[in-house]
Amino acid sequence: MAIALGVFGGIAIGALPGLTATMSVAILTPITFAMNPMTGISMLLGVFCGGIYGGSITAILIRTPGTPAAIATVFDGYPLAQKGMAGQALAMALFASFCGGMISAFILIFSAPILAKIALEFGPPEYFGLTVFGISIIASVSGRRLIKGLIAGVFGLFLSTVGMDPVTGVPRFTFGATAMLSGFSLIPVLIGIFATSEVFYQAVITQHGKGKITLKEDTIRGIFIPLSLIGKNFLNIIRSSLIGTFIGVVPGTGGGIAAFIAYAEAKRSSKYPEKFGTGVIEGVAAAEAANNATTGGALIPMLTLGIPGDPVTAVLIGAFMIQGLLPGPLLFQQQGRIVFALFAGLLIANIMMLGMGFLGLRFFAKIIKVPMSVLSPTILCLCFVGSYAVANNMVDVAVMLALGMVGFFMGRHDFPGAPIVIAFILGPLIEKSLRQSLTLSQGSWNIFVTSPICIIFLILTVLSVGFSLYRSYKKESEERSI
Amino acid sequence: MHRSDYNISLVLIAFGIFIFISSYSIPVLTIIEKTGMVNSQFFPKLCGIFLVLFSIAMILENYLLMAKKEKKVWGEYGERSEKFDYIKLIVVAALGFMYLITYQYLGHLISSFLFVCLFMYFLGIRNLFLLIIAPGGISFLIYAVFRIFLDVPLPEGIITF
Repeated sequence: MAIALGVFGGIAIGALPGLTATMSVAILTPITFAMNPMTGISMLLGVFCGGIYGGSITAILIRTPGTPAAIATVFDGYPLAQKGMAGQALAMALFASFCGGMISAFILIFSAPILAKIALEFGPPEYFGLTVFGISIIASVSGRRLIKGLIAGVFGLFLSTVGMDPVTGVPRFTFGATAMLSGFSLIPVLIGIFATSEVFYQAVITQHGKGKITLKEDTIRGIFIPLSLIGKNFLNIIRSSLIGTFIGVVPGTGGGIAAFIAYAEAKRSSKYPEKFGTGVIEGVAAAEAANNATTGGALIPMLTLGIPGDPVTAVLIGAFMIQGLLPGPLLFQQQGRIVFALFAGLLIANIMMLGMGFLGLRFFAKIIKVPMSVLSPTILCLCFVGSYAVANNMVDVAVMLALGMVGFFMGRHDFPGAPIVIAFILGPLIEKSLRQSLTLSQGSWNIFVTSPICIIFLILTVLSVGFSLYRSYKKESEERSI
Repeated sequence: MHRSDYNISLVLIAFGIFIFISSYSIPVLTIIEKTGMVNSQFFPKLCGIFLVLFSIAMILENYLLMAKKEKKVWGEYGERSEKFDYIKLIVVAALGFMYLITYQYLGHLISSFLFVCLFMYFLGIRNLFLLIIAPGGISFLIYAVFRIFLDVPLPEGIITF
């Protein structure tokens, strides 16, 4: 019952723009104070799993990721909804989330200590390698608009430099404004680029007086996904789940990065990579499997070392400690009973998420039937409230609005929005890890080639970018010869 | 070449140069940053340089495409190049700006009600009943979920409970 309540609360809050999975755990933690430790911890795990999945609902239906982890779901989820396949997109997102969560839960149960040791090997050079690999997916998501995608990525990188320098704390591009010292928050940036710009587009292109719905069909075709589609995406989901679990183990990463990397890998492995971004179910499956797989992965360093794997587990550590669970190296020896209850709770939470998700699918999908003349103002209102809710600051709302305009004009001139957000998220990590590494090595760049993990990621980056470019060139050559 | 792409490239080149020059005003703490080139100015300068380079590349790419007489490849945003009414965009932007200005002073309930009502009217809704009930319902529902259920503070404005 407690897990069901947690999953429901997590899905509902995670779906709301501006309220992340982290906030859903933080908001619902006080409810667990009166519960016994096993019940309370299980409920929080339900909130965690439900919160990560919940972000995909609004990402697919109204192009507004409810959580940062669902950004990559927008790329193909929303186009699928525009094609009238919102039900299938939601169902695949749910099924992939369930698979990702279960696979990472089993990996947590059977190999937590081993993976935690690998996570401990990650220092600044290794983080640099990982984040450079992550940012290389800009080339992948840009498709044929490579140069425009790179420009968008550079713009996102620039946005991430505004505020206090992450290493020395000096102000950059604040122009003397105290409000700009903390830089731009992620939530207003992603709401502005994805959701607000879309609302502007729908409002401006809509025929005056008719409230035209731009969906090709306004009926939901198919809610349940056929077994053949599951079979086709089986390897994709397994691969994405493993990527998500591994990324989740590395402290300081999170579902967003995992989803980007898994999406890029799915695209690279696909027979039809050029269709990604136009509404292919594989893109949704990859992103959702990876982001929910970070739930188990992030718990590994948290439980074994007491180090949070992502922002949500940082809040969970506090909540668990209130319940009497002391994460760290002695946890398995001293509180084994609670740990096994936690494992069981995680598995049950994922199963509950699957059940509740399927029950709610038809209801969620009906949102798309609301006329755009009512839905657009509602979405913009939610964008305002969501941006304000981050820090009770009108500057965030102004940033959201401004970036909405920027996103609108970018969309009109065929600049993709995804690279902005990818670079915005990864930019600070790249910069910090680069500068920390060079500080450690007294300015020597050899530190990046003496780290095996860093070299592996850098080689993967070169291979993946090279392969994407080669494939793109080959495709264009084939089209020219036809 | 599409004239808009050419104009955008010029704007981006100017923006890139602005970023690069502005980066020199960022303080560098040499006591901490002993790494020479890679310091607090490094990434902003890099952004400026790349912005200029990629914008020039965009100009070149378009000239090359024209030389080959190839059609420009559009992505999924291709259909968004259709003409639109600038007046509508100005109205939408003005509504958003009005909402931004009034949100903190009038509070969530009143400003959201006004905004949704005006936006729906702009989008073509003329039914008076719907123009009052829907904005009121939406505004209150969002307030109830965020403020009452989730205890997330929203501006009260002139209405306090």
